[in-house]
Amino acid sequence: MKDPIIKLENLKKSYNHTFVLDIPYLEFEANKLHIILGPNGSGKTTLLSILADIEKIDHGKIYYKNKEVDNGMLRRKITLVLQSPYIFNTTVFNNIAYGLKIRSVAKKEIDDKVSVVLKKLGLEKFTNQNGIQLSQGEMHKVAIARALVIDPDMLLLDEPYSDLDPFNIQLVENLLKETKKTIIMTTQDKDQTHRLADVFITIKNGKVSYV
Amino acid sequence: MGFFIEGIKSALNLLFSFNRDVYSAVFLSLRVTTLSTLFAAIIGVPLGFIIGLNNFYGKRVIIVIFNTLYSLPTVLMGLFAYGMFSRNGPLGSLGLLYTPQAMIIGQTILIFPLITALTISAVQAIDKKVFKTCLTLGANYLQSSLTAFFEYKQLFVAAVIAGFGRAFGEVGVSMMLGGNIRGYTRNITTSIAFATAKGEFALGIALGLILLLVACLISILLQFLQRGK
Repeated sequence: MKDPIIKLENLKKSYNHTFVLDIPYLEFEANKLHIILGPNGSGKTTLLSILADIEKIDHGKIYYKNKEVDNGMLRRKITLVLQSPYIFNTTVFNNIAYGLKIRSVAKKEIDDKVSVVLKKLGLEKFTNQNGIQLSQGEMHKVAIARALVIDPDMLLLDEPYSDLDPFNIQLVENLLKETKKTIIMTTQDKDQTHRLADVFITIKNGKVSYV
Repeated sequence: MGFFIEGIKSALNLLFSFNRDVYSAVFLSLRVTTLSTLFAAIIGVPLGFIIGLNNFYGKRVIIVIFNTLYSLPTVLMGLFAYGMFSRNGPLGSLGLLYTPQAMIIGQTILIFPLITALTISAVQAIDKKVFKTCLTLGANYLQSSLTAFFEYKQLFVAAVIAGFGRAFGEVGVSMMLGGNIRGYTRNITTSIAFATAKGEFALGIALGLILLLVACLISILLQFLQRGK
């Protein structure tokens, strides 16, 4: 594979002495949309959490742009949208601006960037509404907008369509195709995989079975 | 029954005639309890947050200690503090015994374990997704913790209000460290005890009504905050 942005070697992860991930080798290509397909409990979410640097590995090595990853190194480069995202108890605007504020981005720039993302995801009318009052689908879009606005090197999405209706699925899919970022997304939907994936990976019982 | 009705009538008379003894006790109680709650919150909330957030060896033992301390009888805490501030005690040279300052320190010691223990419980109630979300959006450990704190601020405020309630209604520490000096260290609870001992039930009931009113306000505030989350 050309230009792997991230590479995993001999990665093992277990909970309570049971292996949930056992991956001898796996790499992800830069600027491609990767889809990880697998049933519930196969290790998809754990893999994304490890890549997002919020879950520690028991064994193995992770390389980002050929450099071995240290603890916390990837936090500002990779962003994960959780399967059931947490929405802060504040306005939709503040929710989306969170990552930018953390990075001390200037107010004017925050306003501009947030406005663009709000428009792209059709969330303008909710700008000043409290995020926790939205429907599950809208909350999911806020979480996606919150990740996109910080323009990460890699975007990880854990079953991002679970709460979305067909119209919004289409909207998000178009947006993902447009971004030209490295995206890793989990799903259980084979049709979606064929529709979107540049690269697809299947995972079962913690083992990558096909790439 | 007539005894209580007469007592309440006299009490209302004392309240609406702005009786000096009544209002001096009320203002002292408010001043001492507000300051002791403030100091206990400054120590207890961050301490409880750190203990609750981190996993370390001996954490369970520390939680048991705080849970034990917060249910300790106030007279026992008063006795301990009295020993510290009495002339022969380690802090006797400060000359604080029988002053409002000693009452503030005593109440701070009394309620800080309660605030700490309730803060620990509050931290354990935080949805772990808050931290995950903050971290994946690029926040560091401190920023994630602060975000979680503000997301669940009602629970921490509730812990502080519960501390205020305990300090406002306690009598042991105030009596032993304040000495119940009229117009100086006599607060609501020591006044009630003193008035009852002297047979001045009207004064006792008047102050009891104020105590009840504050307890009611605290309860309403707690319910309001808990509904907020």
